[in-house]
Amino acid sequence: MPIHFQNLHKAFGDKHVLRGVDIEVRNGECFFVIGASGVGKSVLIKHLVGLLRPDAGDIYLDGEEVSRLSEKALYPVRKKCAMVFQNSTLFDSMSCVENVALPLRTHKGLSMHDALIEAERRLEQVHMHEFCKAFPAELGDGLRKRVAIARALTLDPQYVLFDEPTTSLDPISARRVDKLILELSRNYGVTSIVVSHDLTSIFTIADRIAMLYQGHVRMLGTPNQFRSSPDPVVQQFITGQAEGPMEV
Amino acid sequence: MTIHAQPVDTHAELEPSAASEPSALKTLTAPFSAFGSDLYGLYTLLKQTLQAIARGQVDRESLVAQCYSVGNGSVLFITVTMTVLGMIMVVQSGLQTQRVIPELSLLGANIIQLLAREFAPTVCAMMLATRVGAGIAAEIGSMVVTDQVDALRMSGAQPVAYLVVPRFIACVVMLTALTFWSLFVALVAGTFAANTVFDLNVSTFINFSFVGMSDYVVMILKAVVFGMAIPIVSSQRGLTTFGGSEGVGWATTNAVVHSSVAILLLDLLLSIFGYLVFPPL
Repeated sequence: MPIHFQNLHKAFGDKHVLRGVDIEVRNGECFFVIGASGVGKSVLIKHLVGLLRPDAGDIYLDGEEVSRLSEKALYPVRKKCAMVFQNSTLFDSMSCVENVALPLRTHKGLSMHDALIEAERRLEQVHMHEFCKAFPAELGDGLRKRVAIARALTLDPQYVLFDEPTTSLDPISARRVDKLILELSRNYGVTSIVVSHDLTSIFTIADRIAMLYQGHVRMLGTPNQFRSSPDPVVQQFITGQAEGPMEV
Repeated sequence: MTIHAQPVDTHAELEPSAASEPSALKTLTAPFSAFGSDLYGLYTLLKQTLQAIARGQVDRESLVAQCYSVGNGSVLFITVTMTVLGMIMVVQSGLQTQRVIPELSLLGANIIQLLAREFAPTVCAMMLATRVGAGIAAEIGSMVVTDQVDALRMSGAQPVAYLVVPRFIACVVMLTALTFWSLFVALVAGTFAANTVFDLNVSTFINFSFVGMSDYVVMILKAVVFGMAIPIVSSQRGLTTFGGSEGVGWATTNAVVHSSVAILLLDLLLSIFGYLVFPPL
């Protein structure tokens, strides 16, 4: 398995968010992590690229234990494992093309000129060429998200982590993002881990789903297995009911 | 096959265990532990900043922008403050002196030395801590809570080199420059006050006979150290922000309070050091 979270524990002060999470992600699959807000979905995927360190447990990426690597040793990990954040996280002081060029300059060591040319090409791929010179503040949520995805894909990563990629997007933009995630998986063999609440996304493009609940994996299976699950907590979540056994 | 992983006893987890309750000793030592942790954080950030500068990791474009923001953006603020302070110092000192001796010919010499060794760098730094320190903490804190700092790390850029270094150099350079400007402004305002209130002529008031190289050395030393303290304290507050917009508010407040306290403590230490190593004339 290229990605393996093994008995992962993480607490913030008194709040024990992850209490021994075990998840294996297969090569090339589109893996969704679902669960209620604050259950630790984003916390989980941030561990994979060293943005958070576990209190206990191991994380393997391509057979290498990555959770205790130094910041410098994490550079190659972050090169092959990109992340699209929930808030787009474009840098306000840079234009769109400069945002996309940044990883090319830092990770690949390209000159500013070469990085900008390559960044323009990348923006063209996500149909954002006309917004190259625009600053993030001038764009809407959907457009910013597309630039953020272009930036994440600029180093041709093997793995992409999506943190709620369709949140705050209109339905059409959300489905476009879904299509892009699916294309990455099907056409380029990219392994995607997607944190999401978006039930349409989950049941349209997920190969497998893990549901986190109270710090543990409550259920792990395919979308069909989730639909037919007898677990009332799982059923409450996937049907979006306000009343039920789920404690939020 | 559906995998139902790890059945959970939810009720057992929700009940706090006795072992998790903080002991009385832990509660008592918690503030000291937090203070020690903060100091270590400041030391680490300072070390990383100096290392980044030594490696030449300085974004010139950002540095120029920060110099403009810290320096040019503070000139009016500092000018008004030092004008008022210069006049008040002269009037108050003159009135106090007149109670002892009715002779004010050395008033200017004393004021200039006091301004150079103490008030120009310290007041200037305090003003900058409120304006610039708050801005640094708010800006970096907002970037932290919106994951922009994590995005920087994912892009292969070091947050310290990218965010702290330009602000650090800008504060050191511009605070030193502003300290000289403060001295000049307070001196001009003081001269005006001395002439107006005590009828002292300009040539009598502007008297540099008490000011030697050691005073300027202490002044520059203070400006440089304060210029390092403000961005380090404020950036550290910003980088450790958590909890959304409320967290940014706390980080900003803490940045101003902690920077101001740091300036006062450093001022005390540097004044003692200055009087021992560079005694006044």
